[in-house]
Amino acid sequence: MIFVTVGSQLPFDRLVKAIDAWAAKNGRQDVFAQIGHNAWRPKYIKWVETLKPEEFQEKVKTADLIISHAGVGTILSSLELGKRILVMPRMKKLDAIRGEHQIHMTKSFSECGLLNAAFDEKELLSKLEDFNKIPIHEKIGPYASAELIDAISDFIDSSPAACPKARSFDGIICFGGEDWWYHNRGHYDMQMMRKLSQQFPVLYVNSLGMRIPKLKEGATFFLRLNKKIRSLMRGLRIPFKNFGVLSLWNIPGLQNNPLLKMLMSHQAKRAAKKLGIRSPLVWINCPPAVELLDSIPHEYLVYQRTDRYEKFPDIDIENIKSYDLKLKREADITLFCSSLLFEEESADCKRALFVDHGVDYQIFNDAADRHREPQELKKIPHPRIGFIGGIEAFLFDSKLFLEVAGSLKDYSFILVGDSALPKNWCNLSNVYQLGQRPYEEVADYMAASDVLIMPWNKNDWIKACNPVKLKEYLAVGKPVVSTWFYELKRYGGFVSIAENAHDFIMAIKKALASPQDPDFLRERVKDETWEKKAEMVIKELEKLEIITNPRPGSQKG
Amino acid sequence: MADKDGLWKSSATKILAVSSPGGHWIQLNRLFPVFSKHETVFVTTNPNYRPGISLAKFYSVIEATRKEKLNLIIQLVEIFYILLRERPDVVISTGASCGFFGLFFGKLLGARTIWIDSIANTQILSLSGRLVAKFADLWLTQWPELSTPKGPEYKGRII
Repeated sequence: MIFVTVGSQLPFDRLVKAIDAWAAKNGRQDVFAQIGHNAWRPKYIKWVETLKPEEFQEKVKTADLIISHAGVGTILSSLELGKRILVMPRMKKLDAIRGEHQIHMTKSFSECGLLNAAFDEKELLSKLEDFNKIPIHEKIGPYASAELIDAISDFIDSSPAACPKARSFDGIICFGGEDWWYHNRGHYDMQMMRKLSQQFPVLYVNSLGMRIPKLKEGATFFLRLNKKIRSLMRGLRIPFKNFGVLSLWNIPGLQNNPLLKMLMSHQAKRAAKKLGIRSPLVWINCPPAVELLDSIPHEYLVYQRTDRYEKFPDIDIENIKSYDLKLKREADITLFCSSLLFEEESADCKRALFVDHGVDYQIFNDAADRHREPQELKKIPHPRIGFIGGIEAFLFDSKLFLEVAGSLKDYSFILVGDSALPKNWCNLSNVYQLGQRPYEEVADYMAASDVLIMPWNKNDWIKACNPVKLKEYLAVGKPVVSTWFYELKRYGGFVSIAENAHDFIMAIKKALASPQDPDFLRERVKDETWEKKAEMVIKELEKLEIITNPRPGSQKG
Repeated sequence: MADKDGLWKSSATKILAVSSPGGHWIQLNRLFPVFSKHETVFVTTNPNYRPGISLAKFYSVIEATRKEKLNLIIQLVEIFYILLRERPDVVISTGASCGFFGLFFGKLLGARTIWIDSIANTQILSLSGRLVAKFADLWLTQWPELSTPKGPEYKGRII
């Protein structure tokens, strides 16, 4: 049987006419043609307009010769069944088609030996004369080449559709370690949030507190209570574009109370919504906030492990420790700003990153250059020894300080910052307690001092701390005298270290007698701006999106 | 985190394989080893092809050529509807208008897209093959002569 096919779309009268005439002349009864709609009707051979796919397959299967237009379907079916095939391509001019692609294809295929071609009726007839001599291409397999199958399979398997889609967040909820309204705004989380708020809306939630306040603290208790209530009364404030601040109604130290949890997460979520934050990154610098994680849906979790929170005095140590461990395990990134903690604890984290404090270098550097002395300092004689920052009883070594200040009666000691010490802790006439000043002004106080000091207690907290003020001190280019803490190992030659009152006094005297070159000190911190630090965190978050895409289990601290 | 959100639950990839009937369809079906590994949904314009793929989900849409503008629009809407319903992870096609629409809407809905230009196009890519360049994540030709550094790529043939 000879099967003639022209495809289902268009007639190909030139081919059918030639075959019909040839069959009549040679008396061939066994020719069957599929001729398409609206085609010229053959007179001698049997024909149909179209065939169903299974009928078509059957015809190809039983044919000894297939005569066809240059249609891929027919050619492939013939090749799959190992049939003899003769192809005559349609031509643009004679067969009213769009282009010469059939000719091109026929040439390319016959060059590969896949088919036998006849480019016009004359060639067709001459080939039909002895069609049993037309060579047959060997059968091809039922599937595409392994090369193509592999390429496509590889592509599909590598497709992220097979893995979870990259997550993205539209804002940040930061559970801060301090209170925006009554702490100095140079703290790590506040600075980071200010910088990040240039890219995302940020909700800064003031510290939830780590311990239950005790009445027996007396004055301090009421002082704290008063501040907290004033902070709460402010509600949600938006001091800068894209940057909201909120205090949550809660009882510090009781964050695991279910009712309080509900109340707190509701407040936070409502405020976040107002800022346009719907799928937040949650940033925790206050471990008890971990209690709220379940009720605040979030895309990412960042844990800022600034200090050894569990060494904070009077807290429920076990509780804070368990919060800390949970956070390190679950946070997408745990940020360390103390190299000691980073070295000791990164193994406990899902993913640890060391990004220490930055400094508003420009502000402090400019303050040193313009030397605008604050009014209240004008009466205070030089040499001035400055401590600029909050005074916490368990951080600030008041004994050491009193010994030093008591011995250096000719020097003025200025203390700028909120004090949590009892009112009458220091009665020395050469010590000036100026209280807290706005963050924007502290640089001027530093610049107006001759030596800057850090008389810290010796405890585990201090050992692992990395005070923000160190870089600020250096950025104004003033000599620094400090007690030892681990982070100072990265500042060899920039900071004088003194372990007791005697050494401290000697170090201050030496710094006054032969001060270090201010530019040398500034150079050390010049590139450590908050912008750079925030960039590091954002970069890591971007990288993380890539890392979380591949299969689970591939991410390890 | 990930476990909590259930994000790592392995989900089988869903493929939508779409082409016009005839040669394009036969070429598409020669990729069976790819389809057999995943859940695959087939789309073409000839309802008679349904029996050939009894195991998979099958849709047929209206036939259209580039002259039949109204049919093209109906086909476009039909294919968009199918994509919305099926939300495949991967859309794969060997040709013609329904394949082009499939890749276009697939891309729009976040699927990854594969175009294998027909083996019939030996000297110049098909019209839809050229138009689809922007929407194909994997853009292939079956003739090395047609591959260029900017695409399409040659990665083997369907034979």
